[in-house]
Amino acid sequence: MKLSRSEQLASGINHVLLGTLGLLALLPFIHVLAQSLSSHDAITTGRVTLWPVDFTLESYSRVLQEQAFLNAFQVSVLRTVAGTLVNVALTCLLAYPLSKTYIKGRSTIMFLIVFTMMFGGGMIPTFLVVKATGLLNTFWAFIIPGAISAFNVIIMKNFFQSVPLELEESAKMDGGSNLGILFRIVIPLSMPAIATITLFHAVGHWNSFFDTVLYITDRKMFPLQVYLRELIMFNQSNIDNNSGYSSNMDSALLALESIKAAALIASTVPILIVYPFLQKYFVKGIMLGSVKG
Amino acid sequence: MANLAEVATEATIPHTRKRRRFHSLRSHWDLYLLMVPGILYFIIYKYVPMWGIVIAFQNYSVFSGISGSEWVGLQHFKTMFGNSDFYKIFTNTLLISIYKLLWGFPGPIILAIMLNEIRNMLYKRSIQTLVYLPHFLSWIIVGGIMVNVLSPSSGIVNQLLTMLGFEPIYFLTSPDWFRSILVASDIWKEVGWGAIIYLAAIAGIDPQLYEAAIMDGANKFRQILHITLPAMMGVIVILFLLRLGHVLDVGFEQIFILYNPLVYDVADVIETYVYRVGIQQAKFSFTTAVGLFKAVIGLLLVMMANRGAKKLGQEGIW
Amino acid sequence: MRNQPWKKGISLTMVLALAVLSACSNGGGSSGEGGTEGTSPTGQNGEEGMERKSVRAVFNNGGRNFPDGLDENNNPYLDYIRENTNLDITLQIPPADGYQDALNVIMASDNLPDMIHSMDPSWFENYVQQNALQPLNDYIDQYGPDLKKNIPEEAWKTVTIDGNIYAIPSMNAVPGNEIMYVRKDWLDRLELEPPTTLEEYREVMRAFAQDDPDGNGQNDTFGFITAENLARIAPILGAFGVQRGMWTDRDGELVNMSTLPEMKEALGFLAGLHQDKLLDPEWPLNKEANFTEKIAAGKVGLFSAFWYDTRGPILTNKNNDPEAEWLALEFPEGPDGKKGTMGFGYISGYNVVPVTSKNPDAVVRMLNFMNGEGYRTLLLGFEGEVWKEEDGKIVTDFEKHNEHIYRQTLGESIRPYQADEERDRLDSLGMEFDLNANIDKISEAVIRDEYLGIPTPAMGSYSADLNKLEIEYFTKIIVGQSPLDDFDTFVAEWKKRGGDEITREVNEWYAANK
Repeated sequence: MKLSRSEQLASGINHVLLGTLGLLALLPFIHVLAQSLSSHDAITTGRVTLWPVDFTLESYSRVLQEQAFLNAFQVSVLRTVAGTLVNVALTCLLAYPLSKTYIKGRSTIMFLIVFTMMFGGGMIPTFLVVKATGLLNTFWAFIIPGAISAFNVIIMKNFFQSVPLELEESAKMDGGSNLGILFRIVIPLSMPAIATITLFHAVGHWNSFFDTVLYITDRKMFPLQVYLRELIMFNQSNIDNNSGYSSNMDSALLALESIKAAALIASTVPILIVYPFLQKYFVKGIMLGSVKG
Repeated sequence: MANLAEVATEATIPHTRKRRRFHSLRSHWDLYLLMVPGILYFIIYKYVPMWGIVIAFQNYSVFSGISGSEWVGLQHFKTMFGNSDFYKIFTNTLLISIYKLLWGFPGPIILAIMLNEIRNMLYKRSIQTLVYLPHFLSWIIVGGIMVNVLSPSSGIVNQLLTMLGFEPIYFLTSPDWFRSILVASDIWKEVGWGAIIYLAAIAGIDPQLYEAAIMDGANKFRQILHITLPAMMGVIVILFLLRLGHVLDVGFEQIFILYNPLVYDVADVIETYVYRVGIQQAKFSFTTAVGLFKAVIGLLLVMMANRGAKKLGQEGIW
Repeated sequence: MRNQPWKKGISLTMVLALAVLSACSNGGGSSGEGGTEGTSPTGQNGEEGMERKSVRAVFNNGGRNFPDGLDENNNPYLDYIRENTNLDITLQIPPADGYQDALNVIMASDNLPDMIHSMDPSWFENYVQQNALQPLNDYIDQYGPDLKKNIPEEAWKTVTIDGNIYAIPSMNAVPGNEIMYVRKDWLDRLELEPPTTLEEYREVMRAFAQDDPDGNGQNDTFGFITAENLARIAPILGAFGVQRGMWTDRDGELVNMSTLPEMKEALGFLAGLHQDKLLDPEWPLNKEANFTEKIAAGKVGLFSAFWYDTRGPILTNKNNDPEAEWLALEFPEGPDGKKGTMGFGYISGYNVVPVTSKNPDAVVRMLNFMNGEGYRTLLLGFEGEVWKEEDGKIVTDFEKHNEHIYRQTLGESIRPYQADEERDRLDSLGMEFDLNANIDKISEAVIRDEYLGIPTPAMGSYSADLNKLEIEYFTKIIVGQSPLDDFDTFVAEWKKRGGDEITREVNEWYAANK
């Protein structure tokens, strides 16, 4: 395909701009990475920018060898995988009928769903319901109370609507059932959207920590984010700290800056690699082509 | 397309509504069944706890529960509106929100289109992955880096400015600059993440449309204008509507970490105010009252905008 | 909240079964189910005549981790308390971040524990008002001899409301945080003496900012450094006899020091420093990390240190620059001969018993042991394992110390006032850090708040807003955005926006408790 001169220029500018943006986005990460490979002294004297100073892998060996870290890591992986599966399944099941104009009351249901995005009962009433449904201190507490996100239902409904009607109709002519059409035609065609909400939910599960604070008391079930926050908090002596907690003083021995950085990297990288893995579903036209062709 | 078909069926058989309803239930009972788990979820975990909203009109005490707590009517709303700074806080919230909307909302859309125009798959995928990285850094970390980068004496930005012959700028302590810094850093942090959903929308476009356009001699810009953008429109409208619902949420963590006494005048927003005032007594009631206020405004905006979108031929949320 | 079978006493057979059970289970309220009340033969290790009971308590572990294989209900330190009190103790440790929220949902549930530890005075006050907590006077009289001995009168006053004691307080470990430190090698290079008066301090700041104290030929040092939200200025304010936000007696009435003319003078002094470019110009942005970084990197040679900064930024600076030598200074003496630093309140935490608990006596027994006989072990760790005594000094095995760090959760939750063990512990961390010496100097110089009550209702409504008002005005005055006379506007605003109401309530308390 030949590009005109102005198109070439625009394309060049486009490449450069995106490259700059990518670099700007990457630098802070490199900074944290460099810290995780540097000595505590080098970090606290501000000598670490983008390259490790006094290179050491000790922080990683300390973080990765800790049983508590590994345990929390396992909990996080489990809840992310199981939770995301439930999220995506339930979201699709709810969104598909809502995308059909012949479903009665869909407008009311949609409004009621949007309503929950703005009005909520708050922490304590939700806690009481979670408690009443017997989820406290069970693995389900990670999954059920946040099983469906209103936002994602709306997004999925919108994507389902953009699936060409002719495809569904012709399938119906061939005697396909509603469910058959959903699973054989609509879902494969909506993979970019499903990949998107998968990513949203997976990241949400991986990063969430407040449900643990409220619903889980068994420390063996604490996920990575709680572990991480405790590690960082233990070393966090607020600058205008008046509490006089002497634990601040012990922190210098325990949670070094480099360890915080290493824990951060070790707990972020696993979720970062989900996206590149899902990216194949973002290739333009591939879905449509495969079904039509 | 979907819209047209819908309008057509709707228009041709208005007089058979009753029969259609029955027909709809009978022939699509399986679809209705699909919705049951989802609807149950919303009822149990969203609507049952919603009685919690009444605590906005109480001095709610966790220990006594709702039935045992004292009713105070509109006292918390009076506290909120009666604060002598409320006007300033409300204006700040609205201004920051509007700036973020104005600059921040189109950001991901433009980014998605720009990414879509990259032919080299490796380059495209790498950039795509890179730009979403900052989303995963907490504001605490980003804030620490920003203080260093924007420092008037040693920060790289000001070193560049001085090299170019400008005076160093106290970005973070200057009331003139602070909001711009908020908006810019917010865009930097979230633009890549926000673009994902638009990339998904673009991925659903039928490639035949582009091929046809190229046949017609449309250049890249025309293709973007007449194919890519219209195809994204549904998602853009939906996201815009949902964004309006949260027009009074401006990102507590970011502001809380970046602001300082010298910019309180321009940066104190509803969320930081709630943090200060609500942190102590009657915390739950006061925060609920403020939340209710924000939600009502948000809902009104969404309802108006939803109607507007429908008038303009867009699909709207409901 | 009503009938809870698991809280009933337990029979002998259950005791034995539970000893095994509780060692394996964690958290949860299920242990101790069934059984009958009152049949309580003393366990073999228990105190004479002490009934075998169960206690479920909630503590904040401040983010400490347990070593592999141990957890909050399965570790030798808890066993140590269990054995010595004849109590079956179950702990619950919510995440440290979000702890107060976790306490609120615990209070909202119908399965309340026997004891909760909170660090937040408003939280405590809030639940006292709601009649959610039990008065503990009788139990303390009966079971808490060590508590009565180790907790001073002033602290009991704070937790006593209408004659009822609603919490057993944990004491602050130290009287205050801030003490002035100077780079001795910089003083020597510039041929200056360690300053004692505020004027001399100012001269040192000037020299450190302008006379190239590090001798690198560059103008890259500050005279003095403070931090965001007016942190690290306590000794300067002390030179004028005031501290922010504290109450002091003037003519028989308590007044807020932030509104006194002396505060205005102190702000004038600080504004002078900023104007003459002696102060780090970015001080309103300095967070902990930026602040310590500048000290560690040798940009500053004079600052108000926390007493343990000798193991933090000062140590890092010494590692970084072998020539660096630091010296603790006398607190600066102001124009009227005043000096001092900010003193803490007495209390760092509140141990409360919800009204639903049937075992307040057991809670007091537990706390009495932790605070008295057991404190040494909870603070220092097991003798012979974590530390040993050599020539009258405590020698700590730091590897073991870190491994056993979780024990401090138990210790600091019910810390006695100025216990000798604290001193031993600090000394064992290294005499070269002068930790006890610093604390002693701070102790002599602290300016204390004379209001000892819990937050008043008006404080609940206004204090956070007033504090913001104060920080905003003071910061603007110091950096020169507002003239010094805006201080008078601040005082008027402060009074109008709730300050007068707070003053009235504070003085009501003062009249009743003088």
